[in-house]
Amino acid sequence: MEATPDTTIRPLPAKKIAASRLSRWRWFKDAGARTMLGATAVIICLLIVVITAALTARSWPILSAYPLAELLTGQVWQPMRGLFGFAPFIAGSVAVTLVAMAFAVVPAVFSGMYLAEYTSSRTRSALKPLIDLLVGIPSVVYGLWGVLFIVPLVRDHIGPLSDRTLGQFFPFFARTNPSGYGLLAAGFVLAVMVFPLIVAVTEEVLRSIPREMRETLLALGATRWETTRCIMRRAALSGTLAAIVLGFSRAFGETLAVMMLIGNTPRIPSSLFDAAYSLPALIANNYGEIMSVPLYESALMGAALLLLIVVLGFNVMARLVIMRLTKRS
Amino acid sequence: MQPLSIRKLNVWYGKQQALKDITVDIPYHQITAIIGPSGCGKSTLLKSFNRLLDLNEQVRINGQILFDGENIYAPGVDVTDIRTRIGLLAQKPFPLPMSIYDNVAYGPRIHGLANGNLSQIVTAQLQAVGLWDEVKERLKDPATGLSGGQQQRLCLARTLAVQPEVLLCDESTASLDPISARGIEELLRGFKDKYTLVLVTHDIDQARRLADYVIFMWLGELVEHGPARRFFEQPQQELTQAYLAREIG
Ligand SMILES: Nc1ncnc2c1ncn2[C@@H]1O[C@H](COP(=O)(O)OP(=O)(O)OP(=O)(O)O)[C@@H](O)[C@H]1O
Ligand SMILES: [Mg+2]
Repeated sequence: MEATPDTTIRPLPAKKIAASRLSRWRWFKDAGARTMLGATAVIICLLIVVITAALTARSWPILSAYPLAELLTGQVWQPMRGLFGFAPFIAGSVAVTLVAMAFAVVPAVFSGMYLAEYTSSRTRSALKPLIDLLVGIPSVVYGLWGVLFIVPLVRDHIGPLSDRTLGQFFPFFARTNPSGYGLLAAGFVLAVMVFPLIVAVTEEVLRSIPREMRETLLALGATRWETTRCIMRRAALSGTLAAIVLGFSRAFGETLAVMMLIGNTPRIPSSLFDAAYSLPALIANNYGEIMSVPLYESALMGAALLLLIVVLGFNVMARLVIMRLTKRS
Repeated sequence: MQPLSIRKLNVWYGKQQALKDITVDIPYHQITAIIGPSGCGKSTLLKSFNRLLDLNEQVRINGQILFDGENIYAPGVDVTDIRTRIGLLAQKPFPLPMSIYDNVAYGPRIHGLANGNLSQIVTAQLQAVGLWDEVKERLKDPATGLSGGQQQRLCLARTLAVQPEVLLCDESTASLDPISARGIEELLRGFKDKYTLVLVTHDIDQARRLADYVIFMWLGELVEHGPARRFFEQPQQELTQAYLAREIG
């Protein structure tokens, strides 16, 4: 029989550890730091689990009272009569988010490309804090700006103009609502809100591409634009997609600014000028009122759960992609 | 005729001067080796030839480099044209994140050199670097799957596919195993009748094996330059003699 090598780990003799006070103190600090940092991570994970569990528990009454398909596709929201259709809110949220993305994605990706590939480091270091600032502005400020400037603009100029031109051919551009509050105003302001986020992440993704790639392409005689295009297509595509998804989930979850601008009308929108209602606005507007109506609170909890699942799902997806990218480079 | 003439070239990284008053001519269709100890400015000099140095924002350059009699640092010069005509093979092979085929095809594509026979160009270049037989079955596979030596030959094919007149190599064999390194050396030696070659190396023996002309640098200054035979057999400067005898460096 072969002799198996002795692989058991023997503890160091106790005397040796005691001999070095310093190393023991350092060991203690190291272990302490590890425990603390680990605990924080665990707490954050627990928090998500706890919130999800609580929301599930509280929305259980409505989930067990109606089939899920009926809740998700039901078009009427009349809690007093026991009608809980989420479809108008889901449609409203999706629609306003899509409008926002339609406005934001292309300019934001191009701005990110410009920042990463075209500017000098001095311009970049001047512009980046500005972008971070934009990310940090409270949403109520954006909402107020929308109410004061965008809504009147839509009401008095864009609405009539669109109605006279495109609206004649496509119902999607018909001015169905003279107030100015609706998908367009909310979507536009939302676009302004997610724009800096997408710019920042796109820039970060492009910056993480190895310098050699840029040098290789330029050394082959590629122009700036050809270089940027190749980097974008071959190395930064999934990262940019992640940036867009991140913007999407941010827009989908935005509450206050949308609530101030969308018109809060629970109807599936069919025109850019329709007033609609979003999931977060539904919760924020109604929670705490007429809670005596049976299943009302549970229905709002269900809406919150839905929102959480969508936003969390999108976020996790985007982060995973970004993580994989940064690990590779 | 001299394809590249360097005239009083000074380069600074921020406040630190990396090249001091370099004046030298690079001979046509020969192999020129730039040698010298680490940090003496070899890479800086080489990158100044195809204006890749400009990418670094800290860099300040004055002096002239004449390429076909025109100063490549003159205002209004088309930098992409310079970089197309003066190709660079980097120290570490960097395959672009695309297929083997596309790596070679990229240059001809953007420069519109293909004229419908792109795959012929790719085949010819891969054959020229002796890679064809190894990769002909997997042209569509990602280039990152190749070995280091294969990658460097692919990078060489990619550079040549643009049809440069001058080929710059910055220690292009340093990161390779000895056999792959010799392979690249043999290729470069064979390219002499088609291209003007400039190699940076800190390997004196490699310079002896390959060079027709040698430029010796020390702390950003050009100490001595001349035809290889004279340079190695009768170095004029004491510094050169000491360096060749490996007493310093
Ligand atoms: N990006 C940079 N920023 C600042 N200083 C630099 C930079 N690159 C090079 N230098 C400096 O310029 C000098 C010359 O560098 P260079 O890379 O040209 O040397 P080298 O001869 O190629 O050395 P090696 O053989 O190690 O590659 C060095 O002193 C170096 O510190
Ligand atoms: Mg170097």
